[in-house]
Amino acid sequence: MITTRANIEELTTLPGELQELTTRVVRQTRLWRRERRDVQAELESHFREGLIELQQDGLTLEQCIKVLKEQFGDEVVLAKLIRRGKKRGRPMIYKVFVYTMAVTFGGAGSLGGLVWWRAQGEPNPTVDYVARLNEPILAIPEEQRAWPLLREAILQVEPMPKVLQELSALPAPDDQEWSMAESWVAQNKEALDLVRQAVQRPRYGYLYDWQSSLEYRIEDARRRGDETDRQELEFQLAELKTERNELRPLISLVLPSLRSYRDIARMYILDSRRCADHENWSQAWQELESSCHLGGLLLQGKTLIEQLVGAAILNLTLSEMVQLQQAHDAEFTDEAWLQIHNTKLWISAIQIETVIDFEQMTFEDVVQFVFTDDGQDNGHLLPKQYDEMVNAFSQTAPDGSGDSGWSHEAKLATMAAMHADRKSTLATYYQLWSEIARYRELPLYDAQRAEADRVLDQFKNDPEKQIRFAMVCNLMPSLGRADQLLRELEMNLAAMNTIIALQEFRRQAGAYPVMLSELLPDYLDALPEDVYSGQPLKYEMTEAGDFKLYSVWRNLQDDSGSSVKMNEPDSPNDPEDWVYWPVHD
Amino acid sequence: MEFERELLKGVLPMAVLKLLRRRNMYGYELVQELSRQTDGVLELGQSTVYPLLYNLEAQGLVEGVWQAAQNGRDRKYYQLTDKGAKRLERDLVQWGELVRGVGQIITEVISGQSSAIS
Repeated sequence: MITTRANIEELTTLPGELQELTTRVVRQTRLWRRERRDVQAELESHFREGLIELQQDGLTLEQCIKVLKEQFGDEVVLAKLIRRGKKRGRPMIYKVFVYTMAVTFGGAGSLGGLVWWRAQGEPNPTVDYVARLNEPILAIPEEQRAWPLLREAILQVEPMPKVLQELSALPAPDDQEWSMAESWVAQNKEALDLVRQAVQRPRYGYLYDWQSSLEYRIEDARRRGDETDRQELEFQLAELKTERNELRPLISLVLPSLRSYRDIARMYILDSRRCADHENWSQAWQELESSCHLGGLLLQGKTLIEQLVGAAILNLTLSEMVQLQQAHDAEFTDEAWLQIHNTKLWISAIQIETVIDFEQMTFEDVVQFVFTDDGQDNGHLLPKQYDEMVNAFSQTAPDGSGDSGWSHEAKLATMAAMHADRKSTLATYYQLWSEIARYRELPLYDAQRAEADRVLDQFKNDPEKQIRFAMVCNLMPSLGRADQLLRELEMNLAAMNTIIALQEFRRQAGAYPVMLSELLPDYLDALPEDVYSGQPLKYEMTEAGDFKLYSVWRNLQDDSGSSVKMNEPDSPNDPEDWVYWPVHD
Repeated sequence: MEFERELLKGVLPMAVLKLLRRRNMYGYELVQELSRQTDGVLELGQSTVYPLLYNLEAQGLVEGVWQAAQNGRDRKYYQLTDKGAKRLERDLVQWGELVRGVGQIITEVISGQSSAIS
């Protein structure tokens, strides 16, 4: 037993109990190794001093140890306090690092929690937007609806042969490909007859549902001999029939084959050329009239895409009508003139308005499918449902254009955490609509009209909006171009009517009028408006006794009717003026 | 006598700084000196002094330096830094005011009690 001062001072290591106590405390501090070494040395030094001091007071080693342990205090509390004190003394760079990590991981944890919470819940769609869309159509008596006959027709239509598709314009009887075109038209005679009957009906009447679309596509696959596609579609149809009571998103609607409508219009034009070649003017005009009526029916469609296809068909047909008149008007029979007059009356009755109901309904419908709903329009975005919906919507987008893998998941997670709630999403969508609508209402010649596109682009390019209002960015259509095309169509129709009125005037008076106003009111109800100037279309008599009718067009300047071809309405280089008459070769 | 922890909290660092202003000391020595110079009023649990010293060191008020003692063993001596000296000056002034103010109140209370008794 060690009892003397000399003995204690000679100790190189502490007695076991004190050494163990020191080691335990130091271990519990969980400090860095260097810090632990320092604390260990200091506590060992402390006990050594204590042993010497107490031994001087005459205590034995055991007594010294006992006293020191008693005076030392609670080892757990001590370890904790030492750790706190030492950590405070660590370098600034360490503190910055710890703070950064805490913020990063704390932030990531919070974000993760938010994402998890946002992923919970189910959408609760309650509004049947498809039924709402079809409601006015169902109110139309069945015998007035063209769609049932059109459906029969497009199921039969053979698509345009590839050779003809590759031509820059439809062939004429003198062209090499004419026989092919003629045989294509003959092959589709029954379908064209069905459309002739269909266009006699006043209303388009297409019912927007999945069943008829799928039935059409099944028939199309059967005709193409694509067994796999057919079986897949039949499976989808069978599934659909068992889920009749379930709401399905409007955005997944499949429209009838718009390509077939275009092909039908092309066949009418080709058949019109065949009839004209045989000097059957009345039949030639009638074929063009059927095509016009088909375009007119499509203008009644509830979707913008149907409207635009209708406009394209009308523009193509009007151009053909003008060419037919210019080439052969002297040869027209009275029967043909009567038909032309009827066309003028029909055109006068057409009213064109860009449809936006479908676009807005689609947005509201997507909202009800991808947001939760507490019954009072409050809810959060469900990223998985949103992703599925957008994928379904952009199926036609080029493959590989989207994100995939981790970045896609990260984007969805970010969106889950950051996307605006249901109420704000709808409010922002309609606020943007109304802001853009103010500019869309302006005439085409008003420079401020371009603001509509700018406002939309600015919204869509804002990085914050791209996340917070991703849905609005993805689903807000850009209507500027559509508006422009439809207003141009209005002008084209008015120009067509004016040309017919001028021909009728000349038939009566023996010459064209000096001024357009002479046509009012017997031949024309109102002067045709140039949508690019707000003034009537430009009209001039030529020295040869003919006339010139033109629009100042997109450069908004009168270039004296220089330069254009009527049959190139989407020419990349806008013509200086748009000349309706005479048609250039 | 056991003092309320909260009462000691502000006093102990000042007392330690005050002792270190006289001379550099190691941990065990500080504990003994505090007890001795305050007649046992500031008698710390022996281990309590180390977290206190580490905190003062972290604030830059004291600095610990290992030195070999006469007996050849290493001791960690703590010395007051300039910053610590300034802090001590400030704390002593505040403490003086506090003692004076509190002293007055306590004197009044005690004399009030005495009058009531007599």
